[in-house]
Amino acid sequence: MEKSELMLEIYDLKKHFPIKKGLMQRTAGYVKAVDGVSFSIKRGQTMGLVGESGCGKTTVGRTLLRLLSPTGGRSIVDGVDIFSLSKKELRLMRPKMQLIFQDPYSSLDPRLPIGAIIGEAVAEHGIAQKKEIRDYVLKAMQDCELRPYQYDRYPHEFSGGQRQRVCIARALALNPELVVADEPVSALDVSVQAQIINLLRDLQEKRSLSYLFISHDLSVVEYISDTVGVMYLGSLVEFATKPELFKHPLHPYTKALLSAAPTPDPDAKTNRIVLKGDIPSPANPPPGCRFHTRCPECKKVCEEDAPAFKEHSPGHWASCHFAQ
Amino acid sequence: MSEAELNRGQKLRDIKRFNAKKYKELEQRLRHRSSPSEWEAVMKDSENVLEIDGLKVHFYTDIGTVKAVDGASISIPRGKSVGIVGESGCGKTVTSLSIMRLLQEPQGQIAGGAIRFNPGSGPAVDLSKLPQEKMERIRGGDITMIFQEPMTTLNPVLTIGKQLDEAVKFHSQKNSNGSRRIAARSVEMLKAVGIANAEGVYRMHPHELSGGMRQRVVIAMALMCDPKLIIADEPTTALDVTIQAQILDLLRSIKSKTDASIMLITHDLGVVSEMADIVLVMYAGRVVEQGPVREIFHNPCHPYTIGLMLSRPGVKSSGKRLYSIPGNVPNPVELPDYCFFRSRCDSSIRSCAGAYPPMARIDASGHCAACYRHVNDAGGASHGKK
Repeated sequence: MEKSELMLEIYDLKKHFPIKKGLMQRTAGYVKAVDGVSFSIKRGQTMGLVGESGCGKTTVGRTLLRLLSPTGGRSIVDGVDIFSLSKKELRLMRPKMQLIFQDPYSSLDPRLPIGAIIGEAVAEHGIAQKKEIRDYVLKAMQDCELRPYQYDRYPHEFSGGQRQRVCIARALALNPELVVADEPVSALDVSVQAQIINLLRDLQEKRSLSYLFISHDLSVVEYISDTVGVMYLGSLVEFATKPELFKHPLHPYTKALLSAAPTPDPDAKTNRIVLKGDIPSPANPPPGCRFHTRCPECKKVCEEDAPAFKEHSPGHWASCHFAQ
Repeated sequence: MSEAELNRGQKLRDIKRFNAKKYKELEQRLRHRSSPSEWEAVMKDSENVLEIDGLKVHFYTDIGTVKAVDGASISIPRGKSVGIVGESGCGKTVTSLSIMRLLQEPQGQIAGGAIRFNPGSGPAVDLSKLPQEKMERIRGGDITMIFQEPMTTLNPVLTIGKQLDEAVKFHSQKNSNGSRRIAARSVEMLKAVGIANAEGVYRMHPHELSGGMRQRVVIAMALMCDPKLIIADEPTTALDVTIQAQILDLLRSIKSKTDASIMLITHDLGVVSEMADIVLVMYAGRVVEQGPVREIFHNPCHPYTIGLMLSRPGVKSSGKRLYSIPGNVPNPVELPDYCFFRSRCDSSIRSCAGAYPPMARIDASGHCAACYRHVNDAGGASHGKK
């Protein structure tokens, strides 16, 4: 089969969580954590997904891998619609798509030495012969700049940065093509963060991986991504290539987000757009444009009509009535 | 048992004995009724609100003594904001906790140095020697603190109003302040930190508020008693970017309205560059560089500061490999007697193997760095490679 150019396509992805109430656990409503998200990632590229806490970016990452059962939409990984697969077929797809979690302190089993942590999935998926697993894991550790003597050590003996290396080694030992990295550097210090970002980039070059890089830190996303999507309250408000998005943001939320990030230059002029208020509850999103309650450019039409997610210039999508 | 195991057991026993001795010493110190002459102090510069002089904070743990802060000197001028930057474990939070005397005792103790505080009226005091009951008057009154996590700072079973009033009730000298007047002040304070529905929020419990709102309440609480010094320990780290912008805006307006000094502790260089007048960089329990904010950002001198700035991803670094400081932070139990940064430094010179470098003055603006490359009498070594 010829490999398609796109590593991941998702169309109108939806994930609604029911709100249970009362003694009978009656469904009283839905939290629309993800409500109609579509984007695609080209092979070997990195897409950054930014947004504030509670906007649904983590849910997107988990639903598209079918770690959460989707409410609607399609997710196509390497030409295969993974929502239509049976359990058995899905299992065969799993090594292809891997996840790196945010918190390296809680995503490793404290009772297993790291050799076993990395080797478990390798053995499970039959990627290496039983006798060769040790060598295979050592090779995977070496790729992530871990030392062979650390094979028998336990997670508590490692620093945060090293644990994140273990998590990366565990994900990459399966030779994935798509890696969803959910805030992989948010829990780390600046100097360690740089080491991990460099490692992720080196591995991408060596193995032509595709990343979905979920983060709330714009400077990291700006550094690592080829394309960037901005999420707000369960839906994508803007999607463009990195230079386009950072130079010509169309959506007022993107503009505010870009201006809100503090710059490490005391002489920088700050024309900061400070948004008022908080994110509305996703269980009860405002009518019309979801951003209109906080938007500095809100007009009457925004309160009534939800804007469509339109392509304003080639490859630059935004959902705002006044984007141009 | 092998000899190594025997030695190890002996070592652990020694540590235990040493710790027990230290705990006992602290107990005696706490029981001792000190006279004012013991804790009254004279400020080096009367314009300073706080002077920390060679502060040492040690934690006596089962694996040895952790020198969390090892001779840090910090002075905070009146009405200025001082930013302290550093990575986790560098001692920045421990420094702030020892100012407030909130260290986990008896494991954590102030092992040396002085913390002189100038309350404006009356003589200056050394907070490290002040008796508990005097300290309680200052803590939350003249010196207040904004913590990182607004979720855990507030008491979940009390209303916001009760928690705000409590501070004033405890610290106000006169009893004439009726509870209605205190409540009015609390509501006024909530309005001042930008809470629209102040009367409503006054009656709410913390769980009814969002993270940003809670942090506003914590800031209001810190401002209740007209403090001389506000310690903000990572005030925006737990918040989203747009909420962080709101809170930074608020802190900036407070800075211009009151004459309180702010000690801002953060790991975010961006926040420091926007908020602080003076910046201190800490590494492994010591201040390695300090100076006015412009100087630090435009002319960083200590290799650690330079590394920290380079490793931040940004527009300029896009496409290139990020700089990363090699190696790890030294083990705080066995700190070397030479420069702590030497093993990670790519520009170390011969004199770096000697004693820990002194603070060297870079220029007249007060910019100093603890690095031998900037010590002039090191024989013109400031430009030589090793």
